[in-house]
Amino acid sequence: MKTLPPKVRKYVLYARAFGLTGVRLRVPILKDASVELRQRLLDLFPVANLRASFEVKGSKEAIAGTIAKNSDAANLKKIAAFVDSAMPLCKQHIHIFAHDGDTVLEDDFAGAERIVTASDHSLYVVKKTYQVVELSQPPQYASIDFLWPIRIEVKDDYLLVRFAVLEKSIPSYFKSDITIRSKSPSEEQMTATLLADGTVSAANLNKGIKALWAKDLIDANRLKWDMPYSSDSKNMNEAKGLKKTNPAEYEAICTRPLRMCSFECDGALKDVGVFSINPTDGFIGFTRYSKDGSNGDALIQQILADN
Amino acid sequence: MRLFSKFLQTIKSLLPTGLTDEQVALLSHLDTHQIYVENVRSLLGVSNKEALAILETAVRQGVFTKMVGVVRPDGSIGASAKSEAALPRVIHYVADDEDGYPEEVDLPTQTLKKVVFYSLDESKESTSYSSAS
Repeated sequence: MKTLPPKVRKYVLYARAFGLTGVRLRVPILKDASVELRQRLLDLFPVANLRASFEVKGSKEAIAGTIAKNSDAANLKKIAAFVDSAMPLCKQHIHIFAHDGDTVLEDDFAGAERIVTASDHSLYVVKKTYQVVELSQPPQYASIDFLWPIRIEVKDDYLLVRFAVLEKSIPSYFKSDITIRSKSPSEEQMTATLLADGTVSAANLNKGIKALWAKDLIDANRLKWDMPYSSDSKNMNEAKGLKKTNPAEYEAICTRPLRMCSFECDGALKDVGVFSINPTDGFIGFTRYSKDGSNGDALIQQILADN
Repeated sequence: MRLFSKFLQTIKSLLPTGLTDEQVALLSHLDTHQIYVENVRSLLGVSNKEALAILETAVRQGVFTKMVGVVRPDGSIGASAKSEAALPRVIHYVADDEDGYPEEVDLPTQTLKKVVFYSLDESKESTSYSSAS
């Protein structure tokens, strides 16, 4: 627990005295983070991009370590700008919300600190803690923190909340195999604050995704959909596309609300490769690293344009 | 359809009662890319052993190719080949993580279940057509 400076303590006490128990102190997360935390943040990104942006030579570990050590304001700003530009290269979970166009992004997003402010988006960072069990002899409880980058993009009708996917890199920080006991905060906890005032809701992307499917720009190889009395699913053999192999079933499923599905892109979107989407809940997941980070955006734009 | 007709002849020769018109109609609706013993057993109302004998005879006669498929944890087939040795060493798989989000994993083929099915060789089918015409 951090000891608060006397001046800050005074304001907290005043706030509590006036019943403002929800007042949250804004702690500079990126600045106050340890070198290890900043290094773990940089570890999320390809070494080639780190090298090009920071002009540091060496292995990925050495490059990330060198950059992370410097806590000067100018360097922190450069780290923030790098994470902002390189975020689309990560595996990502994107939650899309419909809004009335009046949403204004603030410095604090559910406890996350805004580290980049642009005209159409903001980049935030929050400390995410994983509680794990190390499967050593004997098994041991342990925990590890990460700086979790979250980018919120504001469009006319939609808000895009992008979370970098951290999970895959966690075992690499332990000598033994691990199992994750808990993690906090979750994506749901973070996005719940957006939904709180009732002007923002999960976007329904069924129309947009089905339009791309009709144009043969995508085909599904893993599907879930709602039926009146059940939730049905289909996993295609050898990643074959449903529409190509069974057009009649495709027609029938297109009348249903789709849940989590995996699609493979074709035609103009072929470079995007494979992605997952839960159109009914406004979720898109990129489960592979992107080569240049641009193709996923083209896909999202198409889905939203047709929605 | 020449190979499929040969398949029907194979069945007729092995079944003392022959085939009814209804059974022929049902068999013609089978997806010939992937025929399982159970498909034939249930359509013909024969035992598992007899269905297997019909399909193995069809393989010997060059009508079908016997295939081995590797089964993903969700029950779908990740890859198939004419022998287990010819299967890829790793199967790519999209699974749900503990939060229900999709994640891509690579699973070693040797740790996964295998399934046998029979497939009408389409390349042979077209060759038969061209040689017949």
